[in-house]
Amino acid sequence: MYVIVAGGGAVGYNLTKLLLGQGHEVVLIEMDRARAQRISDELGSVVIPQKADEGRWLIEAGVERADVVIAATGEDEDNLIICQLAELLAVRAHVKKPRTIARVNHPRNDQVMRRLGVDATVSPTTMMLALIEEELSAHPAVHLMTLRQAGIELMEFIIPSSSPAVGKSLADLQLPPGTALPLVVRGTETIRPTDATVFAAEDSVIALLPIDNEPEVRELLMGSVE
Amino acid sequence: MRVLIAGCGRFGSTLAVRLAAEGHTVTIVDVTTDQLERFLPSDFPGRTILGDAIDEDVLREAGIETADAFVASMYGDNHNLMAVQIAKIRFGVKRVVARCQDPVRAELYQGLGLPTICPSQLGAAALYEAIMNDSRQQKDVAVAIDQMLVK
Repeated sequence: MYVIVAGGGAVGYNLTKLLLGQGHEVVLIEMDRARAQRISDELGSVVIPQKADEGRWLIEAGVERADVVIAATGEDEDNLIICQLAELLAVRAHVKKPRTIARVNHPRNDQVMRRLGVDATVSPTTMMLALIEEELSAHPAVHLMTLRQAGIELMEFIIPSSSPAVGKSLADLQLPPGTALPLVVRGTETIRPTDATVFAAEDSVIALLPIDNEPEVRELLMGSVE
Repeated sequence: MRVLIAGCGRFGSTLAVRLAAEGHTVTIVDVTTDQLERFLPSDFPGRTILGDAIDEDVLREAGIETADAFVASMYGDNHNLMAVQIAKIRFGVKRVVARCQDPVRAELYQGLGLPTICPSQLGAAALYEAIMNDSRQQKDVAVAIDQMLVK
């Protein structure tokens, strides 16, 4: 793949290194000259020491033949414009649009950026918050995987003894529509739940649920947050 | 007209004062009170809001849902281009315009149906006119003097 990475901070630099290591063709655009020099000293001449949000440097980097453009700067508005410019320049050149991925620093911008045409967003802040939240909680609900396109997530809930679900069957729980519990782990035993399966404290419940249903399912399985 | 202006620098404040003087309802948003205090007269009749104009909550507080026009004249081009897209696409504001110093970006977004004003190009055009007109005038004066001398 031919990949353009915009922004050579901790994220952009490590990403460039990773992609090069996997054999991809990569160009990094980093506006800080000293940083750009340090990176090209280490990784070779793959760095353009300029601003990626100025169209001409995206063109110089070969945006018209790029498969993917990843905007990984520390500024959300710059990342948005870099992705949009990449698309606009491809349209203008009558070539296939590259896939665009933006780093989102402020979670509130996540939705906006996808609505404004960025193909995929990655929010390190949201991920960190989720991980810290899980660490803080004695009975964690762990996000295992998010299928954003489908609006579905895969989660693990460990049922506390105070949970209203303890002693109830799956049928009694009345989960919201679209929610499935494909697996329960009890000690070393794995159970494929049926309507008659009764939940016990410390059960680990794997749930597949629409993202919007998370608060409701969490409350049904874990009880309300005190 | 109800106009919402993002960015209270020289541009934003000048526009805000002028529109308010003409009787328009003006709200101006900036991230710092410094800018609002520095560039607006103390008797500015419009509303001032502290916050970042790419934040939907801030825009709502500033009345974007009932605004007739939205102008983005903050420090960075990208900030402005993002803000006007939120105003137009998210909130459906009819008239939007972004200040964009980079002529390339200004032209690309203009082509996308997003009005931009490029002060660097307008400024250069004005300077060009000033120089060329002046040299033409000087030439005219020289010709007039020649004619007088011939007589």
